[in-house]
Amino acid sequence: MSFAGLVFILIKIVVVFALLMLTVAYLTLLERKVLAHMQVRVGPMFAGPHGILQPIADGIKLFFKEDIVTKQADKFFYFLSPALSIVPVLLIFAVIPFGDKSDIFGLLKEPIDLRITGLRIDILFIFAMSGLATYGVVFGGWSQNNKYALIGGLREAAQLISYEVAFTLSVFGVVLIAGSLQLDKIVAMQKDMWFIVYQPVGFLIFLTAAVAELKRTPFDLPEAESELVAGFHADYSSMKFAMFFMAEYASIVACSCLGTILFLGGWLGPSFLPPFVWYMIKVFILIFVIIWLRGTYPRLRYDQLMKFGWKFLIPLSFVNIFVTAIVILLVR
Amino acid sequence: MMPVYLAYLFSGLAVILALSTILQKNPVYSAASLIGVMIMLACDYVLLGADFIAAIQIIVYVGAIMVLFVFVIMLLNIEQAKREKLFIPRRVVGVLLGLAIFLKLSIVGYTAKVMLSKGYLKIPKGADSTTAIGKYLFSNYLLPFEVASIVLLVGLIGAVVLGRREAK
Repeated sequence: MSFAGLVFILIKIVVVFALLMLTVAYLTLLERKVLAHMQVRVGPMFAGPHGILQPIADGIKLFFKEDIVTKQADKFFYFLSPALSIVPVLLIFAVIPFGDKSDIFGLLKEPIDLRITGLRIDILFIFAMSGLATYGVVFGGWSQNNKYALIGGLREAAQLISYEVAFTLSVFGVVLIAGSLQLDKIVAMQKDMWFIVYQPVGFLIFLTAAVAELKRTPFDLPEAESELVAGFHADYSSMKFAMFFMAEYASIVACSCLGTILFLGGWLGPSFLPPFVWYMIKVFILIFVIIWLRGTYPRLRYDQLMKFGWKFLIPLSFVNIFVTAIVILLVR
Repeated sequence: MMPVYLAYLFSGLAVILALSTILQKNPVYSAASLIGVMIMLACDYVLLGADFIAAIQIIVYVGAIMVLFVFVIMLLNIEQAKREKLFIPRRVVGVLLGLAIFLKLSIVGYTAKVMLSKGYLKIPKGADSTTAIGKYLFSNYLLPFEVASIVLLVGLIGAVVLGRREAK
């Protein structure tokens, strides 16, 4: 690869990383504001007008907090786990496209792909990385040598194994229709009709399993604060704690991007707005839905969570794939 | 060639991590080393151009099977699970098993080489490995594929039966 090409990819990585970190920071404010208004409160109000500087204040506070390492902790995994949980999530953004080929309003001579890179197996790569992200939480929970954290880690392991299956299977309906694992091709296939129309059940399974994978309410048992203090990150503080949180919010963004690309037609939309804006609108609608769920539903009981995953979601996703395949066979 | 050096790097790391898997006293460290081995093997697959196999390696072994291993290790009492003895002194059985695995891998490697050189398996240049594997699995190798799935099903039912008996 030429030197210029390398610099070009580095610029793309820096831009995506900066935008992602900004989104993640302001996602915390969005969540607090949305939840506050749902509960007839006002949320953070003091840092800047309507608390607009709150994420920056939070960031500075977390950065200067004392970094505590407890005596009984397993030092190696205690240090490694926050990185283990955030690196796979950041890697997912290496293959997520943010728009069609674009010359950025005539700034560039040749149109470029609005993504860092593309693989032939985009979707499989994303699943592989989301599988890796489990270990940050599991080892993090174990390394603290603390019963609340251990139970949090155990719950995370069991929950992810259960819902990973439904999460993966829900997407294969779309893959069957599109006949490709490449995200940009899948978006191009949706020019006439979004895949949510062909795959309504698939979309619902995807959304449910994604909320479970993200450990969000009503599936937030690994960090159930009323019974486990804070669950898997009970002993963590300062930037290590912040890295767990960044990983969590970055994976919310990743899941919303994936849902937009697979089911909601990605950046396609009427031409009075640029494609990137359509993409952002759809992503933020999905993010809002995920926050909305937290403001609406109570936490499931653990046996209900397992029963729902294994006895309802997984059979349903098999039926969905089966029906999709038969319909495709009959139509073609 | 850059990929050759990378292949040595990943394979070397895989061997070191495999040794660490059997030499660690703490079972959680053993499991973590095994996860490392799986990831290094996936890297080797990527270098060989088998990106589909690499992704499946990570999804199945790292994302599912090893999570289960770690789950069980963590569920048991860690202090009791620590190994006092690293090796069980059953040399004859160990040597025989090792030889058997070596023989098996050599046969598989040799047949694969013969198959490729005689043209039984054709991988079109620049083709998607996912498409190629899909085509072969559902045409030339349909019977082995179905037999393998039945073997897995038998294993699954066996596990359920054993688990139920224990509960009574």
